[in-house]
Formats: sequence, structure tokens, C-alpha cells
Amino acid sequence: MFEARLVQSSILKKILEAIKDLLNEATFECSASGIQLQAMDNSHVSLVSLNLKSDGFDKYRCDRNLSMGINLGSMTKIMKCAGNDDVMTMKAQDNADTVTFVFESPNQEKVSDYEMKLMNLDQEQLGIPETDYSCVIKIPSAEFSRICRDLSQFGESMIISCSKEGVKFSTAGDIGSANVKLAQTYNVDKEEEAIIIEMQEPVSLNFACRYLNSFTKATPLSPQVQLCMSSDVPLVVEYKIGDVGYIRYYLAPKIEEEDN
Amino acid sequence: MKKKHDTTNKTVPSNTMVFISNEINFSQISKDTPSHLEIIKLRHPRTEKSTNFMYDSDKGTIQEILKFSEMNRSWFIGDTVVSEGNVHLVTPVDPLFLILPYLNKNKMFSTLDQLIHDDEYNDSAKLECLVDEDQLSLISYKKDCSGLIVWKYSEEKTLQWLKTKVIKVANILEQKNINVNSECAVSKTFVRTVKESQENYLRYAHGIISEYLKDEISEKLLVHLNLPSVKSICTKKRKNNELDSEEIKKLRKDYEKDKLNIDVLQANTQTEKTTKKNSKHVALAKAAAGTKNISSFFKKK
Repeated sequence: MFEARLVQSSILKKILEAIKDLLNEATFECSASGIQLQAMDNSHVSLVSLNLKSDGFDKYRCDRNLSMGINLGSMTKIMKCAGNDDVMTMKAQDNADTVTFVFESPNQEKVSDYEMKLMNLDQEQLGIPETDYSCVIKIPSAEFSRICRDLSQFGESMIISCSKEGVKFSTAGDIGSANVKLAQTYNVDKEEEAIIIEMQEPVSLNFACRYLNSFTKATPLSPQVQLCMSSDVPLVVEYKIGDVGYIRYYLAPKIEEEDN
Repeated sequence: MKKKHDTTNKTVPSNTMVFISNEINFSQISKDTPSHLEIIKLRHPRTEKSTNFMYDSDKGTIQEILKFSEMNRSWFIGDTVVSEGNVHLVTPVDPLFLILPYLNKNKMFSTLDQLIHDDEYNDSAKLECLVDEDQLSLISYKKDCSGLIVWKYSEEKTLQWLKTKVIKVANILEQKNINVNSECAVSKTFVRTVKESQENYLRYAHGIISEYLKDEISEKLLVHLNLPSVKSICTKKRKNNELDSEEIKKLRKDYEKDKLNIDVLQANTQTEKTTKKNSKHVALAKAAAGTKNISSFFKKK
């Protein structure tokens, strides 16, 4: 028997918004420690990794490990039926082929439940090693979202380069070129408004703007975003989800056009 | 229209064949000058069997040879009897059809001469001078690597190209009022009162085009043309036979309605929803070009 109760159902709504651009369907792996989701997009250049800890839920019970293959489009439809301050409970039997979503209005007047069919998905799971990154950049998520949106007007790909001076986002395209430089900030009242750069070595990598833009769909989840980079490994874009967990996007760097 | 080999000669060589053609001017061919016409063996685009084609090096065209054979027939040519009484019809064929199977087989960008290289059929190299780049672009992606032009098969482009071919053939069939009903034969003088449906024309035209296509492409083309596969129609028919006439009428109405709805739906969804959704996916896939595969960085569990 699996049961997870979340007082803020809006969190799950935001998570779905954050992944449904990249993924059509995904497997939610439920275990005693929490809910994990890992999936690659169709083109296999980016990877979404979602981790929701069991402690983050208001009530969590998972007797046996459970893999729920879910069509994210259908789940979005169901989540749209929930009010923003509804309390949500996800339920499934062991070896079940359906999952039930129960939404309760705050004053318990309205209780609605939706049952959704599960799918059998055959997705390969990748082991992601813990890596020490050369650069770890923390910036306000709204700022990052703005930069990605602005730069994607100019070119299809952008170069993120991190040096002692700060972090630079640059792109070039048909209209011209664009550069945004962010320097480390000191003396800020709130930590989430600060720009914090921890750098061991300078790194410069090229990424597809459209993917970065898809990642910024997670902006409502967290005021701050963390970018981790090392040369020749995928970029990690991480959004913390309150004290429930995190969502991480991995994006492979673009390779320089090879001369044949 | 009827032209033959060597009508002036009194004695006719024993290996004489009779050709009928709209396109080739046989009178230009004389015995002394070497002929620009040549019969070459190539793979048939559908069956891959050895097939004769007529290659015209002057005009750079290729024609297929259709043999009409009948028992007990001979030709009088001049004063001689030629015992081989077959009629060979020579009609032009789009060289892309002959290149398509080679292109389809090769999954990598290659130059044209590499693509059409065939150990068994050396004449396949002649196909190279029959097509220009614009034509090849109709069925493949082109890439120019500093002067070296390479090609790769594009299913999407090919299906689009074949679709226009099918529609053209269907229009001709309709213009010429050719009976396309597979369930009955009709005399040539029969005056049609009910117009044949567009679908039947398309289906018939698809059959004609499919003569030159591998089965798998032919099936994909059927899907691309939004024609339901024949199997589903057959089962429907069989079901209909078991029901009584009233039910059939009802079913047919429903089916017609369904089809209309489906058509409208398909048109709508295809134009709006799928394009909206697909364009997003296509754009995302496009953006992925040039990026490494993420799974190359992580180990599989």
C-alpha cells in the first residue's frame, strides 16, 4: 500500500509544469525513502531527476517499492482539477495498475478523487555519479529565467562561461550578439537574492537555449537556482523544492561543429 | 508513334526486338554510328530482381521496358519474318525510383556514386548522370562538406514527394474517367452517373505508384495519405455481410458519419493540435542537434 499526503498540492502542480515540456511520460519510483523520477527527453540530450523525500510529505507510507508509469499529460489534467490550497493524497495498492488522487478542500467540505490508469514504461535508468564541479553558481531563479528568455531571442545556443570576474552568458545569431555578465554580490539581506559563485577552475560551455528555457519552467518552485559546471560534462540546473526535495536537470554540452 | 529497329534492312538480325515508344526517335539511329541507346540491367526498385531498362545517353533519360508477350506471334519486317513476336513498350521512368532503394538502404551521409554503387549491377553507376541535385533533394538531405556533396535518405521528404505523385496520378485517372472500382469491371462505354470517390482514385493511384516501391514504403505512404489499410476495410465488409440489410444501412450511415468526423477531426487536430504539440517537439529535437547524448556521460544501471 502506498499513500502520500501533501498539504500543498500546488507543489505537485508546479512540478508537473516543470517537467511536462520535456517528458511525455515518466516512471515515479516510490520507496520508503520517498518518490524518485528519472527520465530523459525524447532526443536523449537532457535528463530530469526529481527527488521528493518522504519526510517532506505530511503523511507518507510505502510498504513495498512501487513503480508507477504515468502519462504526464493525463496527470496534468487531473492536477488541474485540484484547487490551489487543496490537500492532496496519492494512493495506490501494491501491484496496482491505477493510482488515485484525492483532493480535499481546506474546510473538508469537498472531497474529490480521481483514479488514473498506470502505464508500463520501459525506461532505462542511468546512474549519476556524485561529482565535484569546477563551478557552482547560485543565482535568483527569476534572474536565470529572464536571461535564458532574453538570450534565446538572439541565438539557438548560448555559452555559459564562469571566470574570476563572474559568470557570463553569451550568444550570437542573425540579429547580432548578446552578453549578460553577473558579478558576485556581497552584503545582501536575503540569501536567495544573492549571486554566489564558487569556482575552482574557469569553465566555458555551450548549451541549447531551448532546453535551458524548458528548465526555467521550474522557476515557480524555488527562488534560487544552482548551476553546476565542469568542462566536458553535463550542466546541472537544480531547483530546491522547499524542504521536500529537489528537481535537477542535466543537459549535455554542445560539441563544436566538426570539420569533415 | 510506331517505330521499329532497322526497317530499311532487307535482312534482319536474328536478335531483333520490336519496340514501341512515344519518346525515342528511332530514325536517328543508323547502323554506322554507335547508338546512344543501350539496354542495361538494373535492380527492379520493388522486387530487386534483374530488370532491363533502356538508357539514352544523349538525352540522359532512362526508360523502362514493358514486354507484352503472346504465344504464336511473329513480326514481318521488310521481307523477313522475325519469330520473336513480343511487343516491347518503352516508357520513361523517374530515375529517383531506381535510386530510392539504394538511398533507403544507406543510413549514412554518402556521395551519390557511393550510394548507387552495386557490385552485381555495374550499370547502376549510370543513374548518377540522370538526376540533378534538385531532384535528389526531393527524397534526401543534402550536405555540402567543402565541395563534397553528400546525401542521406529522408523519409519525410520521400513520402511528401510520393504523395504529390499519387495525387497527380489520381487526377489523371479522374480526368480520363478510368474505372478504379476494385469490385467490378466496367465497359469503356459505360456512362457513370455516380462519381467515384476521391479515396478510390487515390487508392488506385497508390497501387500504381507502389509498383515501383518496396512494400514498407508503400505501407507508410498509405498512412501518409490518410487511407485506412485495406485489412480494416475487409473486416468491416465481412462483418457487414453477417448483418441484415437494415443494420447495414445504419452501419454505413454511421461509418460515413464517422469517416466525415474522423476526416474533420484529423484535419483539425493535424493542423492545430498536432502541429502545436509536434512543432514544440520538433523544435526541441532540432535544438538538440549538435548536443551529445546524455547517456554517454552516465553509466547505465
